[in-house]
Amino acid sequence: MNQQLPSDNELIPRLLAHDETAYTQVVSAYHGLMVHLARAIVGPAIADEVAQAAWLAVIRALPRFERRSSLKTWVLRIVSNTAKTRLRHESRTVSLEDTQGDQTSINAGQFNASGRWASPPTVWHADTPDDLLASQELRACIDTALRALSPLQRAALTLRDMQGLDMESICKVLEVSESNGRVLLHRARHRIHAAIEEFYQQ
Amino acid sequence: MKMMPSCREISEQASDYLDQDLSPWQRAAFRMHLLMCVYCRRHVKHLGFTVATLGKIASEEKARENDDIQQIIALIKRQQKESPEQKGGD
Repeated sequence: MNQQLPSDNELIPRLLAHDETAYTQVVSAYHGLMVHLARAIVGPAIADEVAQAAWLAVIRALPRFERRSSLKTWVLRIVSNTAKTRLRHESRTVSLEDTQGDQTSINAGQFNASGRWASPPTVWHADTPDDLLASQELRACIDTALRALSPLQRAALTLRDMQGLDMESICKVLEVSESNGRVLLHRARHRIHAAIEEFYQQ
Repeated sequence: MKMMPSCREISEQASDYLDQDLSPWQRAAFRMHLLMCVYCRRHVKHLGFTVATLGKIASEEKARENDDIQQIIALIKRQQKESPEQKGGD
């Protein structure tokens, strides 16, 4: 995708010295990811704006970066915090998290009292992700399900399954505990899965 | 410890299973259940499919990022001109 990014040890001093090549490398490597994360939390309309604001915050804060995490994780945490703050301003009513409680009961209705399948999973008429995505209707269902996730669920899902970050970094970026991070991801995946399942049930 | 997880427990652990985050014991019990339960095999396969599909959607989106990057570099340069070298951080 982009050329090999130098190590943090090499990059950070160059960034602090305002080396333009270093900035170009870092922006090329991280900007897309930042926009995706911002979009997951605040939605597409202001995601670019949030990512820009986050870059300015990164530049300001870089002299004080203590290197307790990788540069990438630190930058993404700034995006996450910028986005969360923005979201709180935009709409006081929206909660970042899902209401607690039902972490295991997403598909509780599918199981009987002894924990067996009450109604078996539907057979999906698709053998690859491409088959799934070939259907415009199904794609629309997936988009709708993505939009219905809570901002943090969507952020966890985006970073893990769409951008390939590891769970430990994701939890640092979103400032959630390891177990909360897993619950966010688990719920988000099950909701998308349920949307596809529903599509095939019809 | 109970030997075999129920279908419901399989569903609850499926996400961690896909990420290889179950303990060796849990993983063994999970696989044992899958060997015997066609519905859970289907369910876990579908969840894996869901994850792969999301990855696919993301890779399709990656195309359009280049002019944004130039814009950000320009923004950063402007900011650096406005506040050159803060001595000793903050």
